Amino acid sequence: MKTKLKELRARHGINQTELARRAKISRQTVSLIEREEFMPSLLIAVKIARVFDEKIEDIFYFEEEELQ
Amino acid sequence: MKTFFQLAIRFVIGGAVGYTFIYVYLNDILILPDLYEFAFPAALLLTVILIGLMTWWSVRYRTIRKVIQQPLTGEAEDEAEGVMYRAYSDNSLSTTLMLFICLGLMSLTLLTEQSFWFLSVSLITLLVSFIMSHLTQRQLYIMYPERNLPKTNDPDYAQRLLDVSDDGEKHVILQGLYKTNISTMSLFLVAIIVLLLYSMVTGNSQLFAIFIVICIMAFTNIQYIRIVRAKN
Repeated sequence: MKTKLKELRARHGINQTELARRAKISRQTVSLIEREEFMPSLLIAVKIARVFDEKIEDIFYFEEEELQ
Repeated sequence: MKTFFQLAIRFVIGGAVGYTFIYVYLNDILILPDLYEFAFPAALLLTVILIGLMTWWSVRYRTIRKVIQQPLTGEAEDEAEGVMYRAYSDNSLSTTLMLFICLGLMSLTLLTEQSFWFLSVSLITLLVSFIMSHLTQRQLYIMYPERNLPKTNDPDYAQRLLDVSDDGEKHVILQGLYKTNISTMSLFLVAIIVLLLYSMVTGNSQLFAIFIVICIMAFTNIQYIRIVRAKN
């Protein structure tokens, strides 16, 4: 899974701690997702998407071969 | 190729150790080291390690306090949060190690009839390690005031802490515990072999310790399978 979370965060000018605070998740989780070391659950994906007012699929996406 | 060499090295070391022990056993060469001779330096070493761990804990405790007091923003805030998290992890490890070493020092002092001072040191540090452990847990509330963390006196503290952890944190915990479980089981097996060989070579039976280790291994494996089996 790939993510545009870091770019999105930079565009909105918020750090990981602030995003974690707004999405009510831990900063560790934000960091893991950005480093693509952890695939977020649907609940966390929705929480993050809500902070940026974006669709989940605009933040998280899969390479075609991952979906085969 | 790397795996082959690793396997070959392990094979050679294992063979050499096995051959030595069997040779010693079959030729009735009893090695009876006078453990009492090493008891005093060992107690001294454990005391020094305890003092070192206490100092390390104090340094890391102050690091967290310093970071909390700094009003930071942007990337600096993220970095500071990382520093705080690592310092908290270090302190959790320090207090746990202190508890184990205190118990080791206490056992050594009582079983080898060492100076009363070592027993006092172990009892005092045991008490101090409990206080430090409590302070470490309390720091968690200051670090994350917005989180609904369980109280330290909660009888179900470990379960509640797991419940308030999010999926990312649980992922990290799972990875850590999975690796720890694999190494623990391997180390227990090595411990049984070492205890068995020690018993054979010195004639000093470690059967009781071997059975204790086997009981722990059986209990932890049964507990794991019981939890996993129920979630079908």
